[in-house]
Amino acid sequence: MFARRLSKELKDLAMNAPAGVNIIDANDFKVWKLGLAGAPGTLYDGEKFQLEFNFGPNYPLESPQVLFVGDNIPVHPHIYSNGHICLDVLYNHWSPVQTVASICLSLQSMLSSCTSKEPPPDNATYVKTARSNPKHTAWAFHDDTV
Amino acid sequence: MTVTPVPVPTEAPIPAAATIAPTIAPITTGAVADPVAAGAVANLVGATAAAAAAGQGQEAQLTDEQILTQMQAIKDEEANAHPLVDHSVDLMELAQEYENGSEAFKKKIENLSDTHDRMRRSRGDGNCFYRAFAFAWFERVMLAIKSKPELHVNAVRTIEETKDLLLAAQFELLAFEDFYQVTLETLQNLVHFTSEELLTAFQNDEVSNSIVMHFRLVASAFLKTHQDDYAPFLEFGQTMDEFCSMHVEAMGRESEEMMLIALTKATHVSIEVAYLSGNQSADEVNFLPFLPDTAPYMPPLVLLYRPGHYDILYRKSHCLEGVI
Repeated sequence: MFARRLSKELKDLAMNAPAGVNIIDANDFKVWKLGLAGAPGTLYDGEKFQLEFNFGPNYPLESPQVLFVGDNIPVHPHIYSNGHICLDVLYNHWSPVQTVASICLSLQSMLSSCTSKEPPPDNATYVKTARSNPKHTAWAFHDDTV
Repeated sequence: MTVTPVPVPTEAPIPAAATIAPTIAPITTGAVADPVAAGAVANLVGATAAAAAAGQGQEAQLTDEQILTQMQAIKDEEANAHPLVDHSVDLMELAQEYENGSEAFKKKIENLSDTHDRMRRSRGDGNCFYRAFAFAWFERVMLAIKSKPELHVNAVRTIEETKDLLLAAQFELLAFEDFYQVTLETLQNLVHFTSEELLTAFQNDEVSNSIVMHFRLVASAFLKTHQDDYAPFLEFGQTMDEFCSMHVEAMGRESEEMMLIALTKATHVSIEVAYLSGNQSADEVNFLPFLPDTAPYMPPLVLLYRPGHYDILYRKSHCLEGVI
């Protein structure tokens, strides 16, 4: 099931990827790398980021593991310098109607609505103690304003 | 949509497999003893966290791969002990569960057995309502395939129509068509299924969970397309979209009355829920009907509710093959 779904998503991404999103590497159905470009007119204009998606066999019933990787991790109040992303739809608000494309759009809009490029206040402590898989972190989502 | 992060780093080193296993084992066994165990999968997350806490200070760290393997092993154990949908059993088995329990339960089950003679358990994984509903409906259709073929025709048409409902609720075809296809194919296969084959289908993770997922999306789509009627019942200023994504569309989230109403109306299948509680003031089990807007074309499916859990009940008059 998950391979069938992913092959459909891949075809869809190849044909109509959202603006600023491109496939870097999707040679298997385990790990995909996607490029995400900062939207024009935002604080991230001109920057290029890399996203890694790890799919388990229960995708899409369970969320993929999604994080920023590479040299350029966005500096953003919801993105830790180890690439972990604090976004509810990736964890307890995940629903199988989300797709790789819709996650990219959510991340794109999270970046675009940012008003000041700052790391999360607890970045240093979190990065020191976090496991490699952000799904093992007990996230708490508090406010909607940033 | 974005939120200020307050990650709680649960990231104390997780102890090695040998240390974790004994911590988890009693919890799984406990779930086996409790027939209404609410989701051993939820338990295992807790167990892992507890094990992590217990193992603070140990150096050995499990890789994510190892954690996955362990979680799978626990799920497999749970699957063997509690199939997603079980064989039906005599209602007296339910009575035995309460042998040493309260008089109120015993009295109610005794009264229930005047009109109902069998029950079928659905796994307590948070999806029990959707799974019980789907199984009970499909089984009813299958048993009547010769005597009342129109039930099958109706069911197929209803499921086909859910595709339009989902599209109307702005779900992407790409995101739901696999679940939809599995549901429709299973329903179409009822023409040649035996009872055993239907049970096997519902015990298969992929088939069973796809059907659960489809019914979740149908309930969600119904609520989203009837917001005026249902949004006033939401609490804490939640929007219908938020409510649906968090409580309806996500696997393992338990259902409440609103989901029962939505699914009944979207599928035109009526349900009666028998509420079995320890309430001392009544000897009778309370039945609550959930009715579609259209005239029901078959007697209601009967579900047994015990706090936090749904199973399937069989009314004596509905049990006989072909008698619907």
